[in-house]
Amino acid sequence: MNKAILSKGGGILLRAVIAIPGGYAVAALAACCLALWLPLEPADAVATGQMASFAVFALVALTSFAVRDLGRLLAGFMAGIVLLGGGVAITLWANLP
Amino acid sequence: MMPGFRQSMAWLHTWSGLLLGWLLYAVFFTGTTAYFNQEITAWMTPESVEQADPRTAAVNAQAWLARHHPDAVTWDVMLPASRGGETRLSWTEASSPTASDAARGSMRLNGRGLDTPVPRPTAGGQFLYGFHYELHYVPYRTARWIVGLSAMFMLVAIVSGIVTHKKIFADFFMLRFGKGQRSWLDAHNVTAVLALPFHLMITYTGLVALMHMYMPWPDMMRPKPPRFAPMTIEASAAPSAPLTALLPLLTQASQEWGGVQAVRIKYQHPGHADARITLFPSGADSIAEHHGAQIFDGATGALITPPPSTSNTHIVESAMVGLHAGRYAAPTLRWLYFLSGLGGTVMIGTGLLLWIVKRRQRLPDPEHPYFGFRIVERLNIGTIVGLPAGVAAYFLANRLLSTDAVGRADWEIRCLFITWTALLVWSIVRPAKSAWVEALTVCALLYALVPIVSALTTTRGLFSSLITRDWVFVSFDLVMLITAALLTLAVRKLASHTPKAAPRRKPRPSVEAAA
Repeated sequence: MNKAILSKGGGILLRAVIAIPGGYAVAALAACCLALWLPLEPADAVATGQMASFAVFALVALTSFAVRDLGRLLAGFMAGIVLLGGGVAITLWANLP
Repeated sequence: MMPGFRQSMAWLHTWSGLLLGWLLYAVFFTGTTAYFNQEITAWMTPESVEQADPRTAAVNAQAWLARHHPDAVTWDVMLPASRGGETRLSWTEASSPTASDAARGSMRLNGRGLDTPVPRPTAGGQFLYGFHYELHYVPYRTARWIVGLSAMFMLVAIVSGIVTHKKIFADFFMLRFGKGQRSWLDAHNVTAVLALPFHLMITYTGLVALMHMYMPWPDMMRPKPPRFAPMTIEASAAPSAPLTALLPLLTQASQEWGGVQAVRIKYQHPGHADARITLFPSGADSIAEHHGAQIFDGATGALITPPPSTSNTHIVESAMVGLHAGRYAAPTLRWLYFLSGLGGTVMIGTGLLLWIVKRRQRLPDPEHPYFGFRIVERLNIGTIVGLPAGVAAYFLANRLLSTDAVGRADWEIRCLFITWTALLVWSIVRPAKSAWVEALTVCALLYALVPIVSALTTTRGLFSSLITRDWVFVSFDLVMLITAALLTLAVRKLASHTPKAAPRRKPRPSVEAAA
């Protein structure tokens, strides 16, 4: 077991939360962005977003254990959520009838 | 950054691999058997010797449904594949106002769609296939989420594993036997690298296969016209009218699909003037699904909707699912799939063993290991040996249970879980090494018994199958014997093995040591 991660980085639980539910949230938002923004037929844009989402999930999960500085990790994660979530929200709002 | 990065990836590889490792082992093991699920079903129904015939089965199945469920709102017919199997029917009755399960029914006919009494009811290979993503004794939706989560863990474990074992490709050519931990690591690496593209592909495509369930949000964000009008469960208001002849529709659809046969037939409002018959193409002829379903007017037989054109995205998606399921694979490729799946199973198994082997040397008190160590050690024995032993018991139960016993198909499945649980309990109460030897012995014995019992209880034992050149039965029995032989080898090696005193070496901040 790598002591450095446990002692220095601390927050193994926080990293797991960012990795698993957080990773899912980022993946879901990224998939929605692709579904909304890709210039394809709706069904194709949706499927492309869904297919790509698992790679995004894995990337977030790996990153959340690779970045040493917990503060930077948290900041990056929040930035991702805000950007993607904001993008989805604005697009949905703009498309309102 | 780099050494720290590798170390954290090693840590992640260890724990993401361990946490759901046993479940992944079970998923890989049963999923691997699924490449031969029709052959397994054939072996488990030795009395049925008829060749399956999808076209005949389709006509007979429709006749059966018309006779027994003329008032149903929908019929659904899954045709047998060219590799064999049975015809599976389901229907929804009009009586119930909601789509509750009570209104649905299902039935299995033989490969020709005939309602001959099934002499030996069994869930067959279909049970092992279903277990690999829907488990058992768990609601299937919950099970799919659990398996999906473990697939994500697998994906993370694979990528972090590649980073961790930087020398993985160089080490690939080193398989050092009898060197304790080093050998386990080599075995882990060899099985990982040899089929690395397979492991990545099978894990990712498994997630894609259920992506509409795992990632439903894009579907909600961007509503799209459904590829097919959803089946209504409302009763028809149209006057009754007989169904058109089925064979011309099958022929017409097959021509449109360039020779591909239909694999599934859905009926809506059969027996009414507004009947619809939807034919779905088989995936057995190509990896990706290039053809759309065809919808016919059930009363006149006219083609209603031209098949929806398949977009590139849809071809990519269906190619991923096709690669995962391997339904297109001819025998040679099918065996490669099987071997790759076994490789994945061994990779997970050796990975779980490595966790123990590495930590045993560093136990503060080897006589009394800490609690977590004992849990992993016992779960390893109970799962790595227990599940395969359970599957052997499943095959044995198929031959030994009375063919007309009440609920015998369920009892076959129970025998699997009883055996698995028994070995798990045994591995907990016995000292670790004895537990390994004894569990492996039981497992070897069970596998060796399968062809013997089969020869004694049916007319299709190994020798008679050799004479009749029944290669499905011959291969099945041979795989059982080879498995038994390999397990016996493992028992003999383990029984004569005395753990060497761990070479005391200076603990170095090795990346591999963290693996």
